Amino acid sequence: MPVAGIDIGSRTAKAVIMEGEKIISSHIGETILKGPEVGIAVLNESLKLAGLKIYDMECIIPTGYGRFQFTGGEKHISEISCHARGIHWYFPTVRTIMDIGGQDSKAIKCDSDGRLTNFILNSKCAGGTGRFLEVIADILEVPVDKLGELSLLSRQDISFSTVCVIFAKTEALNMLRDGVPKSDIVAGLHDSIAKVAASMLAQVTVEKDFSLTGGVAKNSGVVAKIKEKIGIDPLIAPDPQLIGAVGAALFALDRVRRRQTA
Amino acid sequence: MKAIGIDIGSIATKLILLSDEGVVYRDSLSMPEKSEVVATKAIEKALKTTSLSRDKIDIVVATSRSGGDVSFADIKKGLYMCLFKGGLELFPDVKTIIDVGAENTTIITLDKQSQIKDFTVNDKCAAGGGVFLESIAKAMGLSLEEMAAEAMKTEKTIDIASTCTIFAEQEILSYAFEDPPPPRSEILAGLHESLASRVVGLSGKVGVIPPVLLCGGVSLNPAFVRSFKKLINMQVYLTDAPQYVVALGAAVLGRSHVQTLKKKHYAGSGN
Repeated sequence: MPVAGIDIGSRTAKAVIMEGEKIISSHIGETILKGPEVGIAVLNESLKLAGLKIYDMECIIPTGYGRFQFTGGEKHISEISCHARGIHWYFPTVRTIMDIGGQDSKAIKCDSDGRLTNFILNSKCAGGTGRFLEVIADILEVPVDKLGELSLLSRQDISFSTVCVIFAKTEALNMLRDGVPKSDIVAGLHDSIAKVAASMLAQVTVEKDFSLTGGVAKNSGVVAKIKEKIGIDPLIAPDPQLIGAVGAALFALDRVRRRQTA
Repeated sequence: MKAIGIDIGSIATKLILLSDEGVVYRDSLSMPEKSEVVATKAIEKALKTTSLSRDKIDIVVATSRSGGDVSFADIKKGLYMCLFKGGLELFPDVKTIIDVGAENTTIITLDKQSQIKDFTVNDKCAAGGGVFLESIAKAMGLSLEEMAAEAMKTEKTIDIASTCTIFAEQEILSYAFEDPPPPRSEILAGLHESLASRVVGLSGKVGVIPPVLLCGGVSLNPAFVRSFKKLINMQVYLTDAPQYVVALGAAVLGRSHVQTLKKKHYAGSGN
């Protein structure tokens, strides 16, 4: 019997449908376009892709900061636990996870069973989150998914004076005015995000293996900078943005199995 | 004696022309050019408007927040010195000067001899500067004036939980989803209060001594000033051109420089 995990984040919502231990479909939608209905909207999309109906679902578990707005779930589970669970399923050797999402970032530690042992989160400042990338990409008129590629062309190291997105915006504009190539500006931006990540990781102490999750982990430029700062090659799942939803689906699977054995 | 003071801010470049009679000209320019280009244009414009030639100006003093090139100036002074001198020129008994600019809030306290006692600046996060209000005005499709006017309609405030400008923007927009949505005036009053509380909080770091001068472009905003006065709860001086205090201070420093040179010159010729 299939199950679903839905991760309703600040910028995007993700749904994953699993059957047995296999992902059969997934969908990512933007939160801002659909408001509180986004959870059900992404679930419907992934059901359509899988050729299933909502009543086929044996168990649905929502996670993410918008999880309380989703009423059709069996239980709410925090996205931090879901990230640990999801990554453990892909890479059982991982003990440290850095999740960089649309509006917050988290450094997470887990044990050999994928259970959460420690975490810290940055939710006060947009610096070092996906929003940082979005805002600067907008100024530079570069699509967010092209930032990674572009930064590889950088020839010169640049650093932003603070991690504040608003200040970085002014700085980036001044750099453009001074003729600094976009590739250098983007590389500098990636460096700022990596600095925030590295300092959060230092607070929980990095232990091997290490994985990066969240939409920002799709950006090869950020991944390279974080690797450079912490000296460990991160393991990256096929779609790092889906990890929270995968974890939620795995928790749903657990519940179904417990019901079957009971 | 004629001295020009130029303050290259994060958004606008301000110019003051000071003569023996006081301020004779002031202007603010903001254009998408390098700071030295804007400053040079501001000087040209000032000379043209006042029908003065460059050799009639004894000195040009510049201060820059961005550390940009100010080679057009005769001397360069730091922001704190300029703010200090400008504030003191306007109010000789001032003991705390709080300048709330576009990106930064700068605070100076003065001792009994009117010398700089302590100072601080928020330069890590935009949440303590005017850009906090500007970004949100933009997101709401309002001008700063409209936003302040709307906030002034109420005495009630809704607490804004986010500090980060980026998050506050979203927090405010998300009120529209509430059923029923809270009155917009109360949200906006809360927004101005949230900036004022951060400015007052920052001033707590250096220990505020009355009387306080509130200046910088943001102090033209009535809703911000109302919240600031309420929260600081002591005597507050305001000035009619608050965004020019730093430029004024630069010009005042130029004036002193010229006077010192003249004294030396006369002392020298006496020998």
